[in-house]
Amino acid sequence: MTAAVTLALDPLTLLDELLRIPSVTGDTDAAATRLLHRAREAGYHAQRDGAGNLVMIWGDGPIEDEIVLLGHLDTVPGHIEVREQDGRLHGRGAVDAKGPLAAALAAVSRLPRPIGRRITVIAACDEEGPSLGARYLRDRKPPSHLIVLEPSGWDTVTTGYRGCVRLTATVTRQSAHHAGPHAGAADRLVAGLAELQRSLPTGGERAVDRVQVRVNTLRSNDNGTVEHAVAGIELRMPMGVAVEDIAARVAALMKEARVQVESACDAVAVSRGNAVARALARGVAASGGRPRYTSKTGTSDLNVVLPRWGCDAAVYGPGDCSLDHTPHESIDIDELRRGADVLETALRSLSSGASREFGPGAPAQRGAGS
Amino acid sequence: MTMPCPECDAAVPLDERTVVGEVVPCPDCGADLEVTALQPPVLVLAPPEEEDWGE
Repeated sequence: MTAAVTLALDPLTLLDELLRIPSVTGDTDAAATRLLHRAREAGYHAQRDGAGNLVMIWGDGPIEDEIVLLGHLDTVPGHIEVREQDGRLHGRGAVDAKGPLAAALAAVSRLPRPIGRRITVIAACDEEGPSLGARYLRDRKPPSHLIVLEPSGWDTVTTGYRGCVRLTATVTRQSAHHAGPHAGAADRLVAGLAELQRSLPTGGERAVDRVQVRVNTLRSNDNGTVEHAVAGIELRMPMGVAVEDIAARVAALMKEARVQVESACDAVAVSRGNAVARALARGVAASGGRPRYTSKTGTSDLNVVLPRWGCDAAVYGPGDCSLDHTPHESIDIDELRRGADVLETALRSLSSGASREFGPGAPAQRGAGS
Repeated sequence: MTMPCPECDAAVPLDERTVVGEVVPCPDCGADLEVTALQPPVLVLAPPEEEDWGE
């Protein structure tokens, strides 16, 4: 068999190009089309799937032995001028998560073909929304290994996320004179929310081990006949707190409200000793670092796909996640390149099968399907 | 090569590509063990992972 010859992607060039094409959730077609062409030029077999995810395949190994790198192309809104300054590349999505995606695409493009493994990079859509792309993907055949591409710093492997429930609470009352003795719909809603804030935040000392309540939106109206008050509430839950249980507690604490779950996913955690985390640790060491491990208070597409796929997995990506969703979003260019190096080493390790000498390394704990 | 698990004394397999900072699972008790040195290899119970916010 003859090895294919292609030009490896440069992570900085690719990221700069991607940052110049806005791709706010729900409007990613232009960026996906550009990336599809770039991936094909680099030697990937690339196509969009039924949900709009961009699926880029490298190698031709059996699908049951597939390594998936799952990133996302959509970003939150907010224009940031694309510019290189003081060794950093600025732009919306530089860290969350076009930077990790560009690093992964560059890393994979350095691998020889045939490599004996199927390596698939997926630029999912809608991760910053209700994860419609990942929800579509979770019904596909599970890979043997999964790297979710989110920023945590070039030397850090993420091994867990809290779960999340987004719900609305609505109080409806017959209109009455505001000078009267009875509390209105908004009063009752605010009282219920206060009870929620008082009673629900429980758990350990660390934020990742606690239930967190955040009221995202509040609105009310009175048409002279009926008063409505509606709150959009977001709950973050640690491992061991199920979506159904937390939703039931909210309903019990807000007796006067109609509570409706809008979206939900359980917390998820993997063992730091699973094959993917160990391959990434070796990549960090090969690039001169000592691997660090972290759990995050937010959620990612790992929460969506891992309960269904049940494979060895970890989350990795260059970039400072404290810049996610901020007007200061930028990535250190050296870190971007180092992240690509780490991923290349990890993929070579996984592709060689060496990591399998250590045994199955199954995820330590997992939440139920969302 | 194997090293004894500091929790249960079971044999924990290592190979020549193991790195400092890597976490290996004990095949017997399931403990997460951190490799803190290689020559000679030293295994300790891995400290809790750090925490961070965001995605």
